[in-house]
Amino acid sequence: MRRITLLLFFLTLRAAAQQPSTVQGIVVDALTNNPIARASIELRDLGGDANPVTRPGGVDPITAGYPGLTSENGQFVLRNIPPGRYSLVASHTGYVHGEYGQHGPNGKALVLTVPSGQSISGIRLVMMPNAAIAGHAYDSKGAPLAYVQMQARRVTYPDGQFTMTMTSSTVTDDLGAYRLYGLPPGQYVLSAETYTNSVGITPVTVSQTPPVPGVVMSASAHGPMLTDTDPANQNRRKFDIGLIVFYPSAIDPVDAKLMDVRAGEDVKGINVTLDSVRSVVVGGTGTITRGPSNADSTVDVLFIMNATQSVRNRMAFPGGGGRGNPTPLPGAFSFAFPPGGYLAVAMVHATGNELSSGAYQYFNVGLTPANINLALAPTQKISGHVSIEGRSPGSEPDISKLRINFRRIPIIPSANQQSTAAVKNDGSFSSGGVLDGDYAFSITGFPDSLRNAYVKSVRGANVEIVGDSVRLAAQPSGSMDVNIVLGVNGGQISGAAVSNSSESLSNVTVLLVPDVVDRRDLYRSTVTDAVGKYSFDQLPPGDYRLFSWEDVEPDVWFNPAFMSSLRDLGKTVRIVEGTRSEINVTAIPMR
Amino acid sequence: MRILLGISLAAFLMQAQAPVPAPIQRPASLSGRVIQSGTKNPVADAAVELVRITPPPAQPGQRTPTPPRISVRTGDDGGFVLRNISPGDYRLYATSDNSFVPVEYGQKTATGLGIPLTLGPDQNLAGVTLTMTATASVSGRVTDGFGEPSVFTSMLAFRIVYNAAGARKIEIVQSVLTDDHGEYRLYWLAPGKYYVSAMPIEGRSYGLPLSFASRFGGATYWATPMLGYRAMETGELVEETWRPIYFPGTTDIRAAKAIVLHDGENVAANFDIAASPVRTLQVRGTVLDANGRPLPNARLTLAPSKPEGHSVVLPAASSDDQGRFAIHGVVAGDYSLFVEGTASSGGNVMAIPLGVVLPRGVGPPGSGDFLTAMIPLSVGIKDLIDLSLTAVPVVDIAWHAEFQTRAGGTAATLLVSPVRDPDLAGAPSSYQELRKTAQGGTLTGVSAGDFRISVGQLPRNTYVKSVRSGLTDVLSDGLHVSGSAPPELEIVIRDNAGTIDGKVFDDKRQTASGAMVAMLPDLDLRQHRIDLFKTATSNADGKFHFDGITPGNYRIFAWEDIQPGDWFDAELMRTFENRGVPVHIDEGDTKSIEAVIIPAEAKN
Repeated sequence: MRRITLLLFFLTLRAAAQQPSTVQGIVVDALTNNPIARASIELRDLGGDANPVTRPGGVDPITAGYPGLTSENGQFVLRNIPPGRYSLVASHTGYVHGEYGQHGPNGKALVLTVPSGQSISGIRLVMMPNAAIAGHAYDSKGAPLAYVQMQARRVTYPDGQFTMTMTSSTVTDDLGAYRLYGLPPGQYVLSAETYTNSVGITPVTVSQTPPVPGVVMSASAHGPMLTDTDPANQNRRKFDIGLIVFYPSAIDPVDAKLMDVRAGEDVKGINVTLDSVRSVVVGGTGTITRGPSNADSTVDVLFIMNATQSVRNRMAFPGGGGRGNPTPLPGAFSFAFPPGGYLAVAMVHATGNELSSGAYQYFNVGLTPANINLALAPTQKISGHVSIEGRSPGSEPDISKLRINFRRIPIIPSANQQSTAAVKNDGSFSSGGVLDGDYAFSITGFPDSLRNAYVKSVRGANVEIVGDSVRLAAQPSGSMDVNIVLGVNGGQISGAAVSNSSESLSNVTVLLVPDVVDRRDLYRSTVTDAVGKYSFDQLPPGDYRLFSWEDVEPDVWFNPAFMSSLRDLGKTVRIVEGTRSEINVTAIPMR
Repeated sequence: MRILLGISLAAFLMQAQAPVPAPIQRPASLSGRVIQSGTKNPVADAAVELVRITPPPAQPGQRTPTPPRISVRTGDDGGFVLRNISPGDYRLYATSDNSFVPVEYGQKTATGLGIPLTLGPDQNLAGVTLTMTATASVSGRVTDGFGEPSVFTSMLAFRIVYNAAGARKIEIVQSVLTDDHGEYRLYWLAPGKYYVSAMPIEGRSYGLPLSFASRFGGATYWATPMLGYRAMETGELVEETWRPIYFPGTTDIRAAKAIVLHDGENVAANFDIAASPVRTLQVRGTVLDANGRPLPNARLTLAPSKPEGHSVVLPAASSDDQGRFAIHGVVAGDYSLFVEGTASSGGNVMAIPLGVVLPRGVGPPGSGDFLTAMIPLSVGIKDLIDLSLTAVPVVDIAWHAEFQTRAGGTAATLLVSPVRDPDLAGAPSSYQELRKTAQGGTLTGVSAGDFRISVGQLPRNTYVKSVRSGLTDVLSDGLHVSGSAPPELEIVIRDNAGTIDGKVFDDKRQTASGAMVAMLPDLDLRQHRIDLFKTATSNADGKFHFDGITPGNYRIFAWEDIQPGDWFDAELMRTFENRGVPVHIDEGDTKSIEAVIIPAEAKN
């Protein structure tokens, strides 16, 4: 009897474990709070379930998702949803899509866990209206220019570095008109690039096919041409130039106008004038100066365009095959690029692929030909020692668990330099070989005994410390020593982020800003947990301000204009060595 | 940093050619103007290029070869001069930026064909006028059935053309996307007849090419269906796909309204795409080999009998280890279901791109015979389930040729191949290898299905008299292949084919050059006997020539302006039928024909 009862019990459990549920909620406009009708809803299984449910007709549940549409009052109901972990996204024309868990378009999406046999209701998905930028491209005579690639690039500050990220792209039509839409609110620059043979742009040509074999007659976006497809005549290359101009008329992205685009805004009349696109490509010449140690090595050179951070060209220069210092040949070269700012990065790799020397050189291509010299300098190891305040070297065994990560800044996507140094028992460290430049560092691997440690001071002997970075010069002036002193009793603060009505807010950003605003390494940010709590530890003593937002673009606090408008809104906090404080912060609302 | 100003203009491509070092004997020159049609205003800064057709005669003492092309740019008055031209035959072109259609000397209409130019020694040809037509545009707004803009919708401007095999295809001229207002603009279109289609971005697939662009039409692309899922009120999920909507708002391409564009015109075309999503069905069943055993890893493809779009949608699936298959995303209609598999289980069928011929013996390790099947199917309102298909081995078809000719002949010169009839886009390759010897040949590895036998590379002045397979007259009835090899093909080639020399005149009794001439067989032969069609262009004297004509009845048509291949369109030909010149050809006939040109306006 007992066995049958047990069996029935297990059967009931299994049945309950597979009961489908209902998921319902509403989709609203982030600014007006009005419901959004006919918004598309997509509930998508994130997988990883022990018992994936097959769908009728052999439809794959991962591919298919569970689609829905909101009613006239913005509500949605999704039925027959098997238990599992899901993403839930709402989308509609004119809005940035909204995901479950977000308060606004910048928030982090959360996983929706659907338990068995229950109804989840009251889900609120928020969508922010998106914006558009429109205008025309003209040539210097005022005639419309077609097939110019227009890009809206959003300005962000990941880790404090000014970056332009392509958000939307289109080409101008025959009237020179363009419209970039679907833009999340934020700060933008607009770029215009003359036609290149880049992937993604299919040239539109008006063509005829005359019956002469090997000849195709066509007109292209930037000039007429007869292409001879006869391989014997391949010297007739299509001419293209990748001239990039930033609105209103800048070649250097530093001079580009920063446009603050608000939610739902339609920014019109953003017109760009491009100088004659049928231009001769300008360029310059360069030389490579080698030392005796790399006279025979092959030098790889990358040419990176500042505006797009893309690699414009790559060259390899074989070794000089001779002694003497310096050897200008064969290291002389010429290049042809559209006008603009560039970075040349030279690297020499020894056998076994280890970087042994190189150079970074910024240069401009303009009316007069550029002339650059890449003077190869050997790599250097960043070395020094870490000590704990108040303790003698060698007395802290756990110090060897620390790792110091060095990273060259600004970060250049194709020419990164980074190295991690292990710390020895006596506190000394030495990184791998890196080229000259500024290196920001971070320390990881803090053991339990050092869980409240923070960087108290950094001093350099025979090396310059700039802010929080180590500046490696091409010509070292002596034996380097980067002296890092760690304090052991950093401060800690924690608390809740609350709304204006004192309600705890989960999944919102909390930011701690040092009063010394250009110490980026001292900025700390986090996202509140499910009950609205945040915490920061290992804080260097000093004065800070605490901020929180319902919805904020990550890293926008590194934008000087943004912070200057907020200075008085933060809560002042003084961190004292070894103290723990409990501080609540009121989140700045979205509207 | 200052803006770069005054970047120097360089006529990078087109420059007035410097005189060649070696002197040309008795050079010719050419001058004229480039003007716009309609206004007759000059076209400044157009590129004018002269391209040599025939190589120049050997010049004694000349060491440097004469350049094959000479080019200049027109001035503000549209004028151009080309000097120092080696006498010979040339073609002359003018191109500008995209607001004008490129033009060739001798074109009568905006998109017609030009004629060659012959320059004699010391000839100074002046007053040459090249007329360029301004391009046109279509713009409008697309809505989604609820009055809302249809955003990011793929808009295509296309023409309907026919390829050399007579199949109707779509040639895409331009593709753009609607913006967030649902607005679009299709531009730089040469004047002509266009159709506009809209497809929501979810339904758009990037097809792989089936055949490549040729003089007669654009490429054909194939794609598997794009599937979406719609939840019904009950929570049931149904599969759907999207069909292109043709202006003014139909899913039937034959009901699409053509938009005729004239020089420099902009036409508005607004429409709604509510009808685009359509519920799809499934085709399920089992496939067996010739011994009745389940055939795993077989590839099943549904080729629509009437492919309508620019991308042929081919629902497809593979059979599992029990030979079971489920094809999703099938829209109601008529299809041919093709099956391909290999007999040995456990080996995967190689993903063979459509149209590729596999040499015999190539295949995955352990592969056995190639098995195929072809079944016509109709899909209506319900799923097709429980189908049971049998795939049979491919066959080898032997052929030999008999030459009833005075000169004799050898089979090694002929190109004999099986062509599917109808030649559906999406059908798998028809054969594995074509072999031939002096006496005949073998078509190896022919798949199951219906075929015509194409005999090409015939000797001059001969025609195919008959192709028989046992009792079957293959020329008129085709060849059905399934399971067992048909009897050896007997191909009879005869000489004494017919010849026609003709001249095209206009209604003023002047000879018409550059006319498109087509000779079509009798009405009842037009669907299956593509081999009987012949085409030519009338030369500067209005003359044209056909030879190798199979005896029979024909009609000859001459058009001032027609899309090559339009003569395969039965409906269109009905409007022209009574303007063709009937001609009867007996064996050995040489006939002289006068044809009157059908002027361009008559088309619409």
